[in-house]
Amino acid sequence: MAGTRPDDERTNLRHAPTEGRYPSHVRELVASKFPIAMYEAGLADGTPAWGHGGFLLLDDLAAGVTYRASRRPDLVSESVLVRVLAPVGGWFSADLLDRMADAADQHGEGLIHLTTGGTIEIYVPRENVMPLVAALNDCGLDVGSTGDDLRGVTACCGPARCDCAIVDATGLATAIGRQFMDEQQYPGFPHKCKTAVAGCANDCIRAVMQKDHTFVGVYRDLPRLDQERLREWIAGGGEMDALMAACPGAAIRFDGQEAVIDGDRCARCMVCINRSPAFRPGRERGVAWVVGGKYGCRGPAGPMVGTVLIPFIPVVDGDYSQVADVFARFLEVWSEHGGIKERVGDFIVRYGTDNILREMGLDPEGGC
Amino acid sequence: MERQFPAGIMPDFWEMLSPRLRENYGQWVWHEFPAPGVIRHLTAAGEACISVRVQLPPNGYLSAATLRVLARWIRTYAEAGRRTSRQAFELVGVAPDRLADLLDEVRQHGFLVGGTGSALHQIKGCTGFVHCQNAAIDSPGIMKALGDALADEIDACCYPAPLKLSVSGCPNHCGAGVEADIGIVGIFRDPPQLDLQRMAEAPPDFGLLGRWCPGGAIKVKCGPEGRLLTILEDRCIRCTSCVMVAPDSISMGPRRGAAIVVGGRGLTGGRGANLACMAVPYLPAEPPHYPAIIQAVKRLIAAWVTGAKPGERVADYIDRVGLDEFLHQAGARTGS
Repeated sequence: MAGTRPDDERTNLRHAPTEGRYPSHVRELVASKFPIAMYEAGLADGTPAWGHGGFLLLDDLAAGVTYRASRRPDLVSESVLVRVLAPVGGWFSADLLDRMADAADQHGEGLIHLTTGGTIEIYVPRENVMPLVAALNDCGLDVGSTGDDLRGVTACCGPARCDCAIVDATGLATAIGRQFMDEQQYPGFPHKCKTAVAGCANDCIRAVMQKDHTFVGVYRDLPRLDQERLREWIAGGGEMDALMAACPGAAIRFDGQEAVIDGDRCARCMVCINRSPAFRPGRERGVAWVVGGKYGCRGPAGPMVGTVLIPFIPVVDGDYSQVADVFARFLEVWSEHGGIKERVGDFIVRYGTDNILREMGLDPEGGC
Repeated sequence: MERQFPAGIMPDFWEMLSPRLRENYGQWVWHEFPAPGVIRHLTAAGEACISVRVQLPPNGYLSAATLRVLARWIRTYAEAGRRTSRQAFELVGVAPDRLADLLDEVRQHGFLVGGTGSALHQIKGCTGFVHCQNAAIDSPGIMKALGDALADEIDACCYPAPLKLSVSGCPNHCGAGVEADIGIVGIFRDPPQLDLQRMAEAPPDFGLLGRWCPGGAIKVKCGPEGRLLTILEDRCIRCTSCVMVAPDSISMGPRRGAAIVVGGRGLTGGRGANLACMAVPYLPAEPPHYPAIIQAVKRLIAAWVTGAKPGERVADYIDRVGLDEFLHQAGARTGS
């Protein structure tokens, strides 16, 4: 229960915060077989007790298994984990959660980690890796997404639950994941390559900053506007002045009865759509392709927000072939011209988007 | 038949969805927040879907037992579950007549419901000392301390706009500090330390060391005794890139702490995305309660809450009043 100090005899948890209202990671660690003594040792020393690790090549698995070395061999010798490609959109059924828990208990340390990157990590003793992977395969899951490969493709929750989804983000991400399965399981690129699909330009998953490739659902015509619904919304307390002030292009005019959207000023963002149900996304839909996002202070360009490579790739009736085609072409160009350990962001800074588009066989002036 | 590895399975999200979520796929037209942590999506035909957002422990660490609890909640009260991109968990399709029971049970279990709308959202972060070799500070511990200090602001929508806090244990930012309204980043204060003897015994990739250094601080000279590496301390930004390339012969010095960055912004407001910028360059990180970090974050939040207009995110507030003024209001301006 919250507020109680976990009763753990394996180590002294005096350095770890365990009280208070907020849920505790220590409580989860203690409830598993994870070597929490390593965590406590790190806290006591002011530096992690783990050392550099690497990727394990086991049987035919070229990716998906990684380990940390130990600086405290008196406590543990190493820690191994498998990285699991998650269902996109973060979706889980009760059955899958139960079966993952069983697999983690039976073969692993009984600890599951939902990473910031969108994958799932399960800690496991080295000798149990293959039985764990087999058990995960039986649940419809697989491992990958380590080293210089295409990292697990992720998406926002998509049209299954969201009213803003302009494209089928979860469908598109799963289609990309299927088509580029080998790329997620066999490292061979210059560096890691993260990919996500955001259903609309709200980009709730902040993919344009985290991912090397983001496909963002966009519309090219104007927001659809229901004048009657707008009057109802205002009568119900909707703040039209605030909505007009929030519009980044100042594109909306309102005469007290009807609103007009100025197409030259409209940025095709989601602001009016977020604020009032009278505005809905336009019908001419596709994805904008944003490349080069990365958080870390790595590489000559440091942290970057991605840049638009192609502003509009049409998606009609769930046909994603055009997206997959240009994505494959980019990966080829990057593989050929990217330097060793050069992230996509650093590559586009060095090589230039025009050159990249030309190498991909596209006209930099023309778009898709 | 013998197993093949890798099996090449892309998991199918569709199989995670209930029949009703499949039926209403793409039909949602609006959503509202009837209570903190509760989201209600609506279709044009009037169908409703209630989601409950549960705050998970720092960095999404879940024991198998907790995973089974989440599964039980889905079975008993809802239709499906999902982990959010901020490491929270949502129970989707909660039956309206079971909502109160679910909220009770979640709270009894020691988890918080909240983090929707104009509240403090799930605090996101990296593994820190739990499972990383590179962390300068223990992000999960800081997330827990922040969460405890601000717990009342998770389930009360008392802010002008949503507030997202993220904690990165080091400048590699796996914890996404740079994307947050307010981010905490572990920093190293000393330049990297070289073990030239080990470097001579096991030479690293000198080319990559030079290319990867964002400050251009690494110089490699060729002499009669082989290649000699020097680090220009004034150009070094303490990013740890060189340590990643040569972990055996380069290490970070002992002085560590936290920096606070502010004003990360996604695309939501239609004004473009930008990364957070430096607000407080150094604070001591003292477990288990991290008083200096908590105090600085509270002051930044208070300045924003006092000054911001309704709906104004931290980044938009900074755009309006200026970073210097914001830091002045928060008592965080370091001067000089």
